[in-house]
Amino acid sequence: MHLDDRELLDLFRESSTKESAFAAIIKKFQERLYWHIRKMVISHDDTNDMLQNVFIKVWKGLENFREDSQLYTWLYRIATNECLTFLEQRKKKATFSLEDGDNGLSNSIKADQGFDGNKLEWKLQLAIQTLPERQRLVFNLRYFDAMPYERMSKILETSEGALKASYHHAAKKIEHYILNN
Amino acid sequence: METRETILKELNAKTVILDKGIDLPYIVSDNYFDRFSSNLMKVIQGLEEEKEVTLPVPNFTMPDNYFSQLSDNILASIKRDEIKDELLLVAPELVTISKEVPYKVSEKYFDNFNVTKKPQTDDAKVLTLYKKKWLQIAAAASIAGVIAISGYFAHYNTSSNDTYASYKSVDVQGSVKKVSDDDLEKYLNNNDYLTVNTDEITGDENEDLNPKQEIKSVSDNELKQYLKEAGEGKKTVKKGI
Repeated sequence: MHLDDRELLDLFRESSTKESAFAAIIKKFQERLYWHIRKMVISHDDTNDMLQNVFIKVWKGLENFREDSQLYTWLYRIATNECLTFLEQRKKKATFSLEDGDNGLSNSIKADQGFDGNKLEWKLQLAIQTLPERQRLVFNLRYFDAMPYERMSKILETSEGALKASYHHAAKKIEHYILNN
Repeated sequence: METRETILKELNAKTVILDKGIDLPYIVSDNYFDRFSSNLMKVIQGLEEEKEVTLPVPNFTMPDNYFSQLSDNILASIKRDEIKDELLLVAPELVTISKEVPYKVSEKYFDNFNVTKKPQTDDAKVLTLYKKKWLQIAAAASIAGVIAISGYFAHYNTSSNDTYASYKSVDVQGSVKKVSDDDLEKYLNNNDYLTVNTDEITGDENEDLNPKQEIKSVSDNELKQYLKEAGEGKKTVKKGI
């Protein structure tokens, strides 16, 4: 049965249907959130860990969710914050071990079983890793998820104009990378 | 409002052609109106039959929620076109690349996905070690300062009047009065190191102070020097008085 977000939230607030409503929320959003995270952190294991964390946070915070924003936007925001925190920690670890954090992500891409450096799809992924994290997020949300700037603005809490400029810069950088590598 | 008669009179006055009246030339069959309703019903029934024939045959199927999602799908398609147009202006090369993400995930992953992780007991933020270096340096400097200042005061104040004042405030006589004689005796008997052994001191000193031996060991010149200095000392004292 297809339930909309409001119905799911109402069911979640009822103690008798809380768990089944939460399971339905997971089913509804797991795939979109998985790919949103995976495109940022590359490794499946890291993505799985983070997806678990995201839903644990959702479980803890959903009761107090004020519905100022859509459930979808709120979930994306949690997942995005998880991604940024994870990448920040990864960068610090890389600094301690004298490695480059972004190179680490590129290496993860190259280590993927299906990696083929000659294919444009993989080249595109390598090019995306050269972007700063927030620009990478903006590019992924717009290019792959076709997300309108208005919604993106709510998730990333940035003005639409700034997001548009960021996306254009990112697209140009990626094009330059692909044409020169 | 003009009546029919007034209009006819007007027409008769103006033209001869129309003076015979205004009967319409159209003919309608006698039973037309008697049969009208039944004929109309037959037509309607016929239309209904036609409708049934044109309904989709059961062989044609469409996805569930096709019509409910149609508007969303059309809007999504319009948005995709918008994004494509935007990209064509900024980075046209990217339009040619497939938007399929090359990473793979097991087909059963989403079917079997469950939140199996144990939630952490607290939501305390993990503070990063090197985020604000200046803050750490300032904190370390202030701690070092506090230690140094307390050390300085601790060292120099031990011999100061404050310590003396604290000793002075102790009422020793009062405290001793409170202790019974028996207790004092026991205390003194069990703490030998507190008694002064005058015998030992006097004995040693007597051994060292043997005038004859001392004088023998001093040379004549040293003695003369001593007497001279002693004599000057007496004179000075006298002068002073």
